[in-house]
Amino acid sequence: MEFDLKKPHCYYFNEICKIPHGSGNEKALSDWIVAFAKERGLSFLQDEMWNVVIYKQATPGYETHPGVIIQAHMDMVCEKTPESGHHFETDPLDLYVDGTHLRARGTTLGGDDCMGVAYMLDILSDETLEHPYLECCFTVQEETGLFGARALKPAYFKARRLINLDGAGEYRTYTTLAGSRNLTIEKKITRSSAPGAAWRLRVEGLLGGRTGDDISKERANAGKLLARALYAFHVDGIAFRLVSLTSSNKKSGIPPEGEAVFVTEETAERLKEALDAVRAAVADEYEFSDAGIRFELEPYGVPTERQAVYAASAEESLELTELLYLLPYGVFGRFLQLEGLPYASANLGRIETTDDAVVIRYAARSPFESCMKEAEQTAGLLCERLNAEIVGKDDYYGYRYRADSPLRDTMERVFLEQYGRPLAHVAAHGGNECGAFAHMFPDMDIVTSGAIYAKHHTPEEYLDLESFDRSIRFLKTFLAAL
Amino acid sequence: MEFDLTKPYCHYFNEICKIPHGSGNEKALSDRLVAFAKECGLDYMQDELWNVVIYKPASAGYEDHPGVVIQAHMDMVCEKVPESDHDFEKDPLALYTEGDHLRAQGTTLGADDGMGCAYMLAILADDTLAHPYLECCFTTQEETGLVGAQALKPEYFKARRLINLDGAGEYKTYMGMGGGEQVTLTKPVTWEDNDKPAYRLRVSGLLGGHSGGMIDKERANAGKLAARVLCALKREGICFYLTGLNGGTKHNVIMPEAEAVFVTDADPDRIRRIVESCGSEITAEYEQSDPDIRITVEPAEPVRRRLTERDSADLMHLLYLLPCGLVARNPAVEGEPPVTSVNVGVISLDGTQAKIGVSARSGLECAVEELKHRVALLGELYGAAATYSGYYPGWKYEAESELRETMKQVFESLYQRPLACLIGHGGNECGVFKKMFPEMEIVTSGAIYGKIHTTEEFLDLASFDRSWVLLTRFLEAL
Repeated sequence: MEFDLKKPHCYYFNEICKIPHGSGNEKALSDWIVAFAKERGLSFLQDEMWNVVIYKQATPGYETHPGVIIQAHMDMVCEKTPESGHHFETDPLDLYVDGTHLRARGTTLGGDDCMGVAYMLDILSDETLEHPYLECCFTVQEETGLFGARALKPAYFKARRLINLDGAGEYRTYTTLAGSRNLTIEKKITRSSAPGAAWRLRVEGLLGGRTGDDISKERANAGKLLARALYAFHVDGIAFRLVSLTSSNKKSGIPPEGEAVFVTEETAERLKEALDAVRAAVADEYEFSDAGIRFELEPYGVPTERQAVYAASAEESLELTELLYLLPYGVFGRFLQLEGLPYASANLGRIETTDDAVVIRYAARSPFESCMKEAEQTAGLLCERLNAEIVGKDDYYGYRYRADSPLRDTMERVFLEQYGRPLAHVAAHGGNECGAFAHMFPDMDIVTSGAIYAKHHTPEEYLDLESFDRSIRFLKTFLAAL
Repeated sequence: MEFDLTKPYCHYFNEICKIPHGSGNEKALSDRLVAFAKECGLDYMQDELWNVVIYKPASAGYEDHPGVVIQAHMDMVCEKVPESDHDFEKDPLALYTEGDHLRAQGTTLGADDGMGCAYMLAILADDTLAHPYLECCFTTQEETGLVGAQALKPEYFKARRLINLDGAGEYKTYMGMGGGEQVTLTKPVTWEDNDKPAYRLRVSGLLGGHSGGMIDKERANAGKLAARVLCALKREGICFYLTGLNGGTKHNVIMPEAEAVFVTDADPDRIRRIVESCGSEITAEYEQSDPDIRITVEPAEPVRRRLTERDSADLMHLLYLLPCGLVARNPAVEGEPPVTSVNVGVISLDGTQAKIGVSARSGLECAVEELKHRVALLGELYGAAATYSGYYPGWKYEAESELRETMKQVFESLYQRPLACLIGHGGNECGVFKKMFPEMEIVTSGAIYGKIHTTEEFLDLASFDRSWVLLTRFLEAL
């Protein structure tokens, strides 16, 4: 299939790919979009994050119809193959067609989400369309934490209907997505020379996964398992002093591995006996959901007088263990409808140890801000009791399923007419930029749409060109029906 | 449909109903079972709890097949309608049929589990049946906490295959059940004089339900909601002192309502606004699963004493932090049934102490232990001591079971459809056998009965006939 630059959506996609636009490096593309608006005499707004909103008046006959926001993010994930010499700061992407797929040579394509950006530019430049008043919103830094969307201000928008063009994929629409409250918890430690032998307890072989998609799969969490083993030591009367406790190397996600280094005067036999009981219990509990978990305990060197091990106090070590042991992890509530989709969950994320503190990431997900607030309170109360502190808080928001959504009803009707089959509803526990709009405007009616792309965030990313053609036709028909 | 006493299992059911056998009152029936064994010339065992095991040799050709334990409990729940003058200590049940249902006039019927006992007696009495060596176990005091079963001793049994006849219901079999234990947190409290106005916070209208059957229905827990609202007041800077905190009556029931009384000098309108705002958040979250939750706050009668600020905060925070609800599911089984859960069932506050009753439940004993540790640790952090009671062992799901495969085949050939294989979250006597003999393979079977533990209890007579055929064919295939 040809990548036909005579088609406006293809033309604009191609233009975008000439301008580097990795996350945090959007200024050039943002300025180019502003120039586009100026050329066409459209009013626009560009903010200090380089978010852009372009406003287009309703076409004749649509003046009294309520307005619509269309939204996509202009940044892309920059990944390349090891052998690629591509320079994401300066080089245009090298597009090519592979069957019906558009790809970029050796790099990510940025179909996520220039598909949506190209669609908006097509719609804004097409004078033959019928549509209500439009507010086309191009956000930045989506891939690194929805930062652009989170900086949007209510004053930018008049419309209360949103079509998000990020990754729904032609045949479906997202009906609800979760927000997340990401907490950073710090437990200060004071190190001193610790007598006894040092041990390293490793847990590994967990499946891990993403906090949005995988939290409901009953998987184990490396940080929780370490805390469980250490607490079992305590229950068995084994005193220990922690040197370090770490889990995962990634900032988010369910940690698939971790380790604790500690000093104790107990014998190896007692440690192994206590650990064996934990190992057996964990094997039983995760037999059907996370069957490859391994615990390994090995000597980490015996301190000598010249080479002392500096560890947290026994009290601090126990407090930290209890904090990690008690922080709730997993799914706390599910919708009875929506196929049992989780509506409240929390994940104990990366744990790091510095010289004077252990730093814990804890994230609570929910489409309800109230659930995020309660999870924070839970963490806060535990911190208060166990001498730790919430030192950082970072939110993005979700949006709730609405049984009554006139925008979705119209989308379904138009979809059925064009495709002859029903639009699929997807309710998910992941997040996207829609929640930023729901947070600003609780009455916002939201759908998601867009062409199919896949393998995004990898150098194999592609855009399905047939879907790219069909989906713009659908989007334009949908707008005409609004 | 006729209750035809020429059918042996109907005959024995009828005989059982002549002898009173409420829980704890099983001696007469137990002795009758012993007399039956003697009449039939069968070996038997009767223990001090009046449990009975009757042993029957394999029929011809089955001598080298491994043996089977069949098991049912002989005790029944005794309930009667208010106008009934039935005396459960001495009167026989007055049976009658109503359509396809066998019922007892004005009382529970005790089909739970007279059904299973009647089947075992019919099997033991019938010398035409084909079956391996059988150990028919009649337990006591099941309804009051699996008491008889938990007193069984390993030496009573040689067989390592078990058919439990308690309440599976013809078309299904269980592959696992919950075990559990109760944790009671007790916190001593200190009172001081009070001159501040009092308010009553009420949480009501919740669906509640048994924590074994309903814990995966996403229902709210009134005690947890009360703690949440109290914490919201505190978060908003309202300084208050508790004078009352009560809710629930049983550890294993999802708390359907709760009430907290507190005193404060804060502005009543502000209190009402915070409670309303918190209430509307709760209503939104439980819109689908518990739609009639009511949360109200109103002035209460003056109180002379209140808890100290410290005790008030500790108690509220402890209740707030206690885990409650579903903890783990089994993703390998259709429907992802619950495996582990915890329920805050009872809260109370009296002159000297506050008590919180928590029920931990799991098919995995280690998961129950883990929950006990978590609850006890939270108690410790807030000055409450944990005590444990009411332990009963769970029956862990195993992916492979030869006994279950055989039952599935026999069922399918008889019914031309698949047997439903379920995991239960409530407890039953199977867990006790699994604890005694970890290698034991277990299935459950039996006729359909309904409305058990109520005076509307019935036994489905058509199912009683069909399930007899299923059971005897199953034994033949073992």
